[in-house]
Amino acid sequence: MSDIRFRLLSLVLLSVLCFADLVGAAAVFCWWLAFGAKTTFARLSWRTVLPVLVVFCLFPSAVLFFTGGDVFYGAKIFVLALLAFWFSASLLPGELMSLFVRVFGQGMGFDLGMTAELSVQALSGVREDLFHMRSALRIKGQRFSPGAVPFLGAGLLVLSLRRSAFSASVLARRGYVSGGTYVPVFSPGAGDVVMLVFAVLLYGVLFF
Amino acid sequence: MIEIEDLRHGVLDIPSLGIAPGLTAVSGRNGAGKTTLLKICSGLLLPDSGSVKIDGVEPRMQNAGYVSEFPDRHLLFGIVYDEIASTLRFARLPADEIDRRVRQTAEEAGIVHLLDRECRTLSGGEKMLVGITAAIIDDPVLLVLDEPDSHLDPVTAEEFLAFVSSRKIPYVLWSSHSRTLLSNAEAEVRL
Amino acid sequence: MRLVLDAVRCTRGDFSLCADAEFSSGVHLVTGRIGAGKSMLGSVLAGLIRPDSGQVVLEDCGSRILLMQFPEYQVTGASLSAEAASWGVMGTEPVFSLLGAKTGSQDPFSLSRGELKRLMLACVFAKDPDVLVLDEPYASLDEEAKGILTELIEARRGMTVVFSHESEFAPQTAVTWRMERGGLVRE
Repeated sequence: MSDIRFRLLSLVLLSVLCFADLVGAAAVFCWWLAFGAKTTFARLSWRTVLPVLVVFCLFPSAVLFFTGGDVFYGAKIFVLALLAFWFSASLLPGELMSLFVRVFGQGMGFDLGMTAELSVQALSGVREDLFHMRSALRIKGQRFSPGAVPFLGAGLLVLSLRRSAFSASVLARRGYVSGGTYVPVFSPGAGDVVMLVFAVLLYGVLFF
Repeated sequence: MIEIEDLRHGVLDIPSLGIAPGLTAVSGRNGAGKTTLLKICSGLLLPDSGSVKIDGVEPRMQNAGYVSEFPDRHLLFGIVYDEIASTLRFARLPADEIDRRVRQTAEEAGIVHLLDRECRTLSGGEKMLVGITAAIIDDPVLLVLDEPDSHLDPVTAEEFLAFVSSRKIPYVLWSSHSRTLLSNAEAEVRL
Repeated sequence: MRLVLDAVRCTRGDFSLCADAEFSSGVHLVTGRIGAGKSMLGSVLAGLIRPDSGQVVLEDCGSRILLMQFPEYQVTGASLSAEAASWGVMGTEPVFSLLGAKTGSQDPFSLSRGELKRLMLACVFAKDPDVLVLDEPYASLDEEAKGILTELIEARRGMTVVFSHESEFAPQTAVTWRMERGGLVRE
């Protein structure tokens, strides 16, 4: 049981706190350890998380260190990236649709929600394609070498474009023009409230 | 009648063809253009030249359902219920009517227990059934099935055929390489 | 040549595969209803999935190749000829003309499903590994190609394991196995 509205509100509050203050970022990191880490790693492998953290956090920190800027900028981005991973890992199918329809209604909300849902689907499609390609290379006795990356990337792009074209024609076939009937469903649980309350309480660190 | 006149698209070249109501099988060797013909008849693809009319109406303007040959990837939405309900939602029917029709059709297809499941966790046969339920939810005039049996075992394929026949859909176009399934058809178009 | 599954067990979600079996050289046909675990067993035999417990013992099985159920999953070449090359074959072997598999600069994804299947089959038969695992090789093939495929399977040396529900064209001389809810039984 989880409600995207509580999680989204927590995400916004925590992101602001994280950026406002270095101690805040440390507090948000503790929040992530307590509430977010389990969900994050239940859906994502450290092999996905780690390279992103390195590119987005270590790299800017190094640049700022040598240019005399705020070296802790990287630490803040690090915590923000962890939050982003947690939020995306916590998404359940249909939740974005419910959220957008609740906020923007059955016209624009439906369109935005469906676009978001289809995008999430497309991402998992790309992950599957990549998995199949790696299996195919293993079967063919080839290594997953850097030289193969450009071709595999192009292959993934072609597959994604084909799938998008197919999805578009099926949507049209099913009569999609704009908007539609959708009843948002939310199922809040006690965990959501606890998470949000702690996110609010963390703002206390700003007064110390 | 489905009337095809001077149809040209890729390898396809059909001067004139009439398909009567009922279950019509489309057969032919690999690369003969079966999928292309089925996509044109269901309105997914516009032909380079020529015309197709279903009871006098162009495929895109006619109520038609399409199930692709690729059971692993033909479902668009994450949850089975959303997949089946999509046509009715796009038509902006009232929410309670959508719910009633989704549950009733799923019941008849024997997949009511799958409604809340994530599509990616389904087996190949279950995906096929969900795909077809989504295609028939709005009682189409034409149902197009592209090699639905090629990834199903014979028992599942029989059940599948029985379900399609029970729906009383005016036109069903079905491509297959299986002699047994082709023999169940009322007519055959050989490309 | 022997491939032994010694108390092999694999669990993915709610599904569990349990197999205790010995495959010798020759043709093996594994049947079973959809969802019985055929594709998973195929991946175990080809060494793509490591069992959670038990072991896969190989004796004199040098090269192993799996042809996946959906041919588009296995494409890594940008053209038909590049695809043949990615398997380490020329594309001029007799099996290509036998199966009517095209080669050249065309994009593999512009082929129909059946044509792509013919190409992939031609590649793996030209490669001629010791152990060849074919997952639903008859799916999407027309009758002519199904007949040729059966002849190719029966003419092969080494071990060929065919996972299929094909009843009209399947090899007649094969050792047959049946899968049911994750279990494997020799018939």
